[in-house]
Amino acid sequence: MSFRTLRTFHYRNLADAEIELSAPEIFFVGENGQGKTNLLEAIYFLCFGASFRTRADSLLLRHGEREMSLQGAYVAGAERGEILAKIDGAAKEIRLNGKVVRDRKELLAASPCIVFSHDDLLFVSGSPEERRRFLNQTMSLHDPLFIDLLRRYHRLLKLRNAALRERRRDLVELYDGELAESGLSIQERRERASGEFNEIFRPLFRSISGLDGELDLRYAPSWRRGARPEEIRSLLGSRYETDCELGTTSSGPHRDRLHFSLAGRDFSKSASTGQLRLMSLILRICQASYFSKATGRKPLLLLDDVLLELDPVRRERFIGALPASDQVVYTFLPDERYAAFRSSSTIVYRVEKGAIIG
Amino acid sequence: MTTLDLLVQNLSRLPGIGRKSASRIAYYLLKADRSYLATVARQIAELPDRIRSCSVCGNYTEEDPCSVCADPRRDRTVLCVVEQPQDVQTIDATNEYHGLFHVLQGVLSPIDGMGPEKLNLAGLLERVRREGVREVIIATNPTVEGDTTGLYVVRLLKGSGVAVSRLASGLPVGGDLEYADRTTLARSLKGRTPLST
Ligand SMILES: [Zn+2]
Repeated sequence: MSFRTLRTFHYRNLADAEIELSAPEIFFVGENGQGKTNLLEAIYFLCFGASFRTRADSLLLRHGEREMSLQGAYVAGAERGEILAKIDGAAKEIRLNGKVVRDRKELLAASPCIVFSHDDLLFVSGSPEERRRFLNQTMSLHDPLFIDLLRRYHRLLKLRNAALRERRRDLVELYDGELAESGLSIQERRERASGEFNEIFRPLFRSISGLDGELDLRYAPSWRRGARPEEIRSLLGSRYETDCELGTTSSGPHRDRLHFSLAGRDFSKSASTGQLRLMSLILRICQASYFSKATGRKPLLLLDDVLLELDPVRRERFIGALPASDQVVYTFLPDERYAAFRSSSTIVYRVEKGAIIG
Repeated sequence: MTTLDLLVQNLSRLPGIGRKSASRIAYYLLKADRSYLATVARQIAELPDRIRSCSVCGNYTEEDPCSVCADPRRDRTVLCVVEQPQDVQTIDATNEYHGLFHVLQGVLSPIDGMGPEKLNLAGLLERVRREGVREVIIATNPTVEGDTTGLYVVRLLKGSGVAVSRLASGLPVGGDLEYADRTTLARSLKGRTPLST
């Protein structure tokens, strides 16, 4: 998919504007703090109904305002559409072609985008939770049922934990069976997805990084591989006392881990920051490819200042490996040699003090 | 704060009413004629006195027992277990169900301090034991809380000798019975899945 126009109103530090985006590549060029990343964030917000930088929607309001809106006209295949996002005080409303979106997952059907940002480093060197987030996101992009499954599991987990804190064994046992079922289902899907993901990731990492040896994304589930629901139920039962003392459920997919292993060793620990950075970018490329492979659709790519940190050889390989997309939106610093990446159809905007100046 | 502000504030506590709608309603009331205002005000004020829970099923009613429980044409061997009184109306409106109801008055949710003792479960067991019930249909909402509450009821009725089925198929996941359209609801009433007890 690609956006044709973006309109912003009372959004962050940006001057209210309607921005023409009808090109396969858009460059937003500006110093830090001038608003170029806010523009990427606006596009992302239209795609997912949330920001990739903050969970607090109130931060998207211009200082002193209580209302803001974003509007984007897009093209996806033969289909034209429009997304409107509004924040009014604490209320958020998103409309897809005029219809109110009740669940953000409805947006996925219309407009997926993949953002490459500095924070992606957390996918490879961050906490287990942040690594799981990458896998969850990759799977959710093309599989709304996985979203339902995750939501169900986390709701059950919350209920079970509340029951643990009250030492309500009858209720804990009630949730154990359900938790085992939905948890195992998540585990199976993660197992399968990480295997498929590796098929894309392994060769691509080798060709871009130039490193010897295979880098593997390893999925390490908290529960035994291939376990049956009864086994998990009795495991949960046997940990009842421990879990009560902890006040939380000590095993399950919310404790799954992801490792990156190079020749059998944990690469996240031995890799340089540059290598980790590169790895996170390649993960994003694979996420986009995985999505395209699963759906036959091309995502919109958003690249936030990430080319800067690659050496020229890897930068070239990286750009060459970007999956087919209908549109790529980049941000650059003014002194970056961005001209080398532009083509005749690229739209280049200078962003200064929240306004587009040409 | 002015009287109008306070009214807007109170109206915006109503479900589905935001601040904007609340102020539209308030301005409408400001212009409405006095007899209309008096009638609505009286109806609202009298609600808790006139309407109570049916002592048999827990449905809202002005007479006790409620019109459903008192209806001699109903099949008294079937009980449909629902979360809230408004679910009784929703299911009744399908015209596919002719048995009696049992309102739990909530769902199990330890997060909100809702344990089994807060639900009308004792009344359910009592009815099953004494009133010749042969079938219980569990029609809690297809949410995690609704599902697990349904499961709790299934376990509770184990060994009681009644057939238990679950109304589930076709309802939107995470949805409310209240919002399910009638045909979907009617279909799921017909195609209810029997559970072994
Ligand atoms: Zn009644």
